[in-house]
Amino acid sequence: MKYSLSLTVNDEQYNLLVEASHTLMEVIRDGIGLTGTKCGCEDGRCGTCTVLLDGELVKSCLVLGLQAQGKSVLTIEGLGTPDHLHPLQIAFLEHGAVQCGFCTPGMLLTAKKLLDENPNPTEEDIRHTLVGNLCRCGVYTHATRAILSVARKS
Amino acid sequence: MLNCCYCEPTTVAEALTLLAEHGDGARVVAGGQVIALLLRQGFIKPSCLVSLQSVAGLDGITAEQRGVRIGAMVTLHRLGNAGNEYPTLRALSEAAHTVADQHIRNRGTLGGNICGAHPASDINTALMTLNAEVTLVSTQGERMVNLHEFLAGPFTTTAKPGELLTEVTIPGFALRRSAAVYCRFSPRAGDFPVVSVGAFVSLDDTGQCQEPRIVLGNCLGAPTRATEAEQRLAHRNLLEDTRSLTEAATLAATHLTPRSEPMASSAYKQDLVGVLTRAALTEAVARALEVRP
Ligand SMILES: Cc1cc2nc3c(=O)[nH]c(=O)nc-3n(C[C@H](O)[C@H](O)[C@H](O)COP(=O)(O)OP(=O)(O)OC[C@H]3O[C@@H](n4cnc5c(N)ncnc54)[C@H](O)[C@@H]3O)c2cc1C
Ligand code: FES
Ligand code: FES
Repeated sequence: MKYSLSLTVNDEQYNLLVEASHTLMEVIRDGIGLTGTKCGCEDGRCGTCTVLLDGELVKSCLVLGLQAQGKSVLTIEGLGTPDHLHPLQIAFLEHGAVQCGFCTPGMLLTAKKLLDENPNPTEEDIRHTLVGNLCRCGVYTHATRAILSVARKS
Repeated sequence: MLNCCYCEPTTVAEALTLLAEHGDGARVVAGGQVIALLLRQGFIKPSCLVSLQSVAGLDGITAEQRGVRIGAMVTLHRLGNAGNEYPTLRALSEAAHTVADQHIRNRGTLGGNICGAHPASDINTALMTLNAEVTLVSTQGERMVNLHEFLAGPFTTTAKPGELLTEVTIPGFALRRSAAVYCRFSPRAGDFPVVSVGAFVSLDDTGQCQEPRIVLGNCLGAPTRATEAEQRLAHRNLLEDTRSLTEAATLAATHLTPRSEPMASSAYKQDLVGVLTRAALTEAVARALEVRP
């Protein structure tokens, strides 16, 4: 059975028809066509599908689309634009924290949430927060330095 | 394509009616952290998903005479901080804080973790250490059962069709000098524990240990009391006889034959049980005396 779902993604309103079993990740990628949100494992382990749902970090493959009814989603496309990169995106590039880039959208959103809540994190805080975002290329150290550099600048 | 409806009731009564109407085909959705996966993998084919996210009154934490009552929809993130305000929940907070990662703790709920009945559930092991009771409600009425009886084995509970878990009660500690501790080991942060141990001790005025509890997680299908080890501690004076902690840890390690897994043999888990039990008991006694080791 299809249900109508309305939600805001990156400040734009969307109305879609979704199945009860569709995940928020499917809604974002297949329904809306925003493919910056990556699908790594689809079982909650990798964190590449991370988005902010009403400001909260979630793995969008573990949220049903209908659970996001009326809510607001921030995906990587809403963090910065190619012309106006977010300071975290610039720092990730400068610190070599992007290799293949598959984990990058999720890591950036996790980092954004961390800095929103704690503008002055320690290295330990950053490592603890990145637990849910796996990187096969192993950029953890570079990502940690990048996040620290943004915190120091602001 | 799965032909499944989705409902978002706003009261417990409405949710119960939906569960009764759909019988075996109904499935409760709390945070969805397990459900989303089960649906995708086709492990479950429900005819109706009953979401609890708009149901009022399931997310409170209140201290009462008989103990602290925690609503089923309280998130693991919130549970992770609850120990600061409610001292008897400290070990539960320790457990909640180690579950998976921030993303999953934000959405995963107390009720969902319990009812998911994962053999390695940090929450269930900690709750059993605290002698928790769960409240189950259906259109037929309400019952309270000890968590020990509620958990039936891996991914299985004794919940009857149509029953909703609405809250958990953590009884108050009878003796002032009481404390619980939760310890776990996983090689990587964010993973389920290979083994975990919860320890509860309660000392009378002379230092004698009353009704100790030692609970082992991820050894068998559900958290298990290490009864021989508990008996070794009961009525011992833990201030004078500190050897009994080590002896209890040894008994806990040999008490059962843990289920082996690809990454952890049974013997390895037994070793871990010994080490973690010793650590948990030592810390529990120190906490009960409010003296840090
Ligand atoms: C990658 C990953 C890592 C994890 N690591 C850990 C870990 O280290 N330690 C740990 O303890 N857990 C771990 N978990 C499990 C996680 O904590 C649970 O998935 C989560 O707490 C489930 O809560 P939920 O509210 O999302 O449940 P849901 O997915 O909504 O529900 C889970 C089950 O419980 C039933 N249910 C839910 N609420 C109720 C209710 N109130 N009454 C009756 N039935 C109900 C549902 O029908 C379903 O069968 C992990 C999960 C993932 C995906
Ligand atoms: S795709 Fe969601 S956690 Fe891996
Ligand atoms: S940069 Fe390749 S997965 Fe992280």
